[in-house]
Amino acid sequence: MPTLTIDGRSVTVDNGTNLILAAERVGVEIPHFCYHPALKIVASCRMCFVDVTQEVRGKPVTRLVTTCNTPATDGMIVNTQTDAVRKAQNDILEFLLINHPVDCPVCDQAGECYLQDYTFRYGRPSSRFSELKRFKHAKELGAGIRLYTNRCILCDRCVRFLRDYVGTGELTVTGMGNAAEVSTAPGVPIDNKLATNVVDLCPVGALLTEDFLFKARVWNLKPIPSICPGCARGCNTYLDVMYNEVQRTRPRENPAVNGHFMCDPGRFTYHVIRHPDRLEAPAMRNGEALEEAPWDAAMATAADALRQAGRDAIVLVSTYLTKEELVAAKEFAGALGAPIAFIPNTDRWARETYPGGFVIEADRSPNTAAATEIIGRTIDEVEIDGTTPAVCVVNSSIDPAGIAAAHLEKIRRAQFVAAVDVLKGPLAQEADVALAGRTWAEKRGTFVNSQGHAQRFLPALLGPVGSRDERDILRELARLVSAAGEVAESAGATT
Amino acid sequence: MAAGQNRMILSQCETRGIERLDVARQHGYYRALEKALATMTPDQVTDEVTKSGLQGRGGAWFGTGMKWSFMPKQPDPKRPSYLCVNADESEPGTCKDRFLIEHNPHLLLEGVLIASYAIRARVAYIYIRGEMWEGMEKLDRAIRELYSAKLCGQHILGTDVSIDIVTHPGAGAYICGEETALMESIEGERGYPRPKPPFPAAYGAFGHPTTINNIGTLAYVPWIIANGAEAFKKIGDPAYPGTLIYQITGHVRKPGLYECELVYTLRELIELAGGVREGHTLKAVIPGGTSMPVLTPDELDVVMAPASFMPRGPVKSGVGSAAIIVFDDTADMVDVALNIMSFYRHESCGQCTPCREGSKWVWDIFDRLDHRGARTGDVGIAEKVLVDVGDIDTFEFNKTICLFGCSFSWPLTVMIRKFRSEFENAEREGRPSPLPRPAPLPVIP
Repeated sequence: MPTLTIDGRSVTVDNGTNLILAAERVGVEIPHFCYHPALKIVASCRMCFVDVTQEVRGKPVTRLVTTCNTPATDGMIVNTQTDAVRKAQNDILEFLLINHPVDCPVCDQAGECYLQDYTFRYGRPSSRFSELKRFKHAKELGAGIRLYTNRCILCDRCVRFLRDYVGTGELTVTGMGNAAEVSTAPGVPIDNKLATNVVDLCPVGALLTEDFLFKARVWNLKPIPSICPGCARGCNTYLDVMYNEVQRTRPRENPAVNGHFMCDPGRFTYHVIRHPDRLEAPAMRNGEALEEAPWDAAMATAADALRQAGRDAIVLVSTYLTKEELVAAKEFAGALGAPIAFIPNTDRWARETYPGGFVIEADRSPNTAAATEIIGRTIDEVEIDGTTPAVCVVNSSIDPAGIAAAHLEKIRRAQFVAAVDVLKGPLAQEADVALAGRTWAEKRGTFVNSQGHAQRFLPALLGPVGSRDERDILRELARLVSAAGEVAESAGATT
Repeated sequence: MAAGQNRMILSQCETRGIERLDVARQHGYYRALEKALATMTPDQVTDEVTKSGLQGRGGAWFGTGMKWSFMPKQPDPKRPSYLCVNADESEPGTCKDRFLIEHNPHLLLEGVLIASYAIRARVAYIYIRGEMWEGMEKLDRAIRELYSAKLCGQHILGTDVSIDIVTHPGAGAYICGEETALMESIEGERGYPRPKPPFPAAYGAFGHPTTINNIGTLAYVPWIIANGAEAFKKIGDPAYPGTLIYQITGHVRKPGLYECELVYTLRELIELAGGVREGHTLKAVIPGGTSMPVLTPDELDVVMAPASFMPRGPVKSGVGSAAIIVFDDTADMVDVALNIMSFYRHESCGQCTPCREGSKWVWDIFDRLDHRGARTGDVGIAEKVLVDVGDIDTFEFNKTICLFGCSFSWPLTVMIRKFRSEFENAEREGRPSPLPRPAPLPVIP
């Protein structure tokens, strides 16, 4: 456990810790481009220099070293504020900027660009370069990723990520010296589920995703910490919001769950918030079609049917609900005296693991763990047939494919179906009353992931005007159901 | 004292048919290998070479025996040791290795086998420059002869020593002559140098313990084993024993390969090559390939051995690969600088920032200087950029991952300093080209 001094502050670190992490531990920032904690260290950008004083053959020697690949040793004295270090940082930034197009006004990365930030902090205001800049054409790499090759500083993060972390290796560097370019092999575009992470990894605006291209300036975005609802892993995310719209999703670092990354299907789940089939107001069945109805009418209809059914009603929940909503649903079922069960998410996909340790779970819903613990019983363990007077399904699933056909067929058998949902999917089409709920981005709650971690998330947006929070709906239904007197007893006992 | 040659290596190359195994064996080749396998342990071979004082002829002059002693004495069977032989001779001005490969492959192969035995290597990879296809064909033919004669491969000469020799051609990159880039290239990756530490003896080719030796160094190994370390130390300067094949080229009367002991001065060696051409005077000499700073006529009385040069001696230059390039008064040093910089700009691998960007920038300035289109202050900017890549005054080499950055920034800094008047004249004579128009916007085609 070596002890060393960094800028006058003493710190003790584990054996083999590199100086860049040791400095982070005492709050000293060392500028870098190519270093990333999840990727192989190459020390190629030459930005992370510090002055290190060490005993060499009995005499103290001071020299510049790169911190990303130098392990901390006992008695090292590290200085990041000397003239030599500042000159080195200045020089490297000058070298990087001489061929960089400096098209910040049209570059998406402005505001979160390492080159911009470091030039402000460590660079010089003008350049001595007065030659022709080298020019490289922009490319489309596949998976909606664009490489503005001119801006690339050849830090190699994208190459290392796809080669080592994902294992597919679609990107490589071609050419030598100043003609070096990151590119794909001809006819082999990027095609894997972790592809868009290279856009987050790229320190400059070379790699950009068409999903976010020209949408917003990053300093206008408000990042809200959230959890991805795409699978049971629950990768931690930031939803970047502007004008009550999610403009993009970014991964949030969590070493226990998702590391530094998230998968593309999860990243793009935010599009469901403004899905064309979004259920934005309650609806009631009128013959064949569902017609939009006001809240009190819809709630009254649903509450009447459920009160009539009483103990014979069935309450069903999905695994897309938050832990708090599951508890509220259970209380509602208790107020009815009716059984409650959850609809398990059918395994239509395989679990995927990647060499870097990333996992996409087979269960593509976020809260099966909590549903199993709080509800316990699944839909397969309850009887629903033509004699079931009412079923209340609290679905709110963000999967546009909807409930599995087998489960939907079972639900359809009941005489009355009340659904709380966010999409006009197959369930809403079968329902007699469809109540408009909210997606995860529009409410706060907790998901329990496949590892058992309970993860809270915050609301990023206001839901559609005609929607209500699921817990409000359930409490109101419970109140309506018991306000009109006792819950009706029925002939048969149900548990 | 007039320089005289000691053609201990070159004379062997003059024997007719020496590239054939039967002729080679008639002249005593592979007897040293037999002696080593029969009477010496690998560590004894290493000790003998260490005692002989042989140092690397690739330009770094690191003790060969000492380098071999870093290898594991008991290699893990799951991590066999390798020998990588650096036959990627690409330094401008250097041609000695090519000559030896094309004329006397068996001399080198015997050295490769003895070295592999000494470091307990399982495979020897000879990384030969791709352009030297003729040499590679000769080496391949010689290796096939060795396999047939059971002098390499499984159970050499009936012993339990097995060494395979593989030739691996390069594909036209000077940077693959750098030892870590050479190993990357053999692994099939791009020839990007690795940061050191870890050093090759700990983590080398394919992650296994590896020694990299220049092929010219291994040419001396059979002689040392056959005749003993003491005899080798008596040849020439005991601090730098043996000979060095100086490649004297440029404006001399008799350019060629001159094998001498390391006791003569640069002036004497140039005289040996016939001196500067008739009717001309000496202007500058590059003593050891273009990576070494240039010397002016008043600096010629320096003994051409590593002791005279930095870091062991006072002169800011080096013996390097012993490629002596002589310039007379007809040479335009600005043109020479551009010629040298073109090579380095082309060969930069592009991995680290200072070399990749700096090489292009400096080339652009030299290009405008040479074509008399420079602006005021260009020479000053070129000097400052070269110092930013690597400062020769502080011996700074750490700005870049490998020494390639210094191999153009140090010599060109010295060239500008020593011939400043020529560069400033070029700057003054310039009709400045207009400032360049901004680059086009990168659009998706």
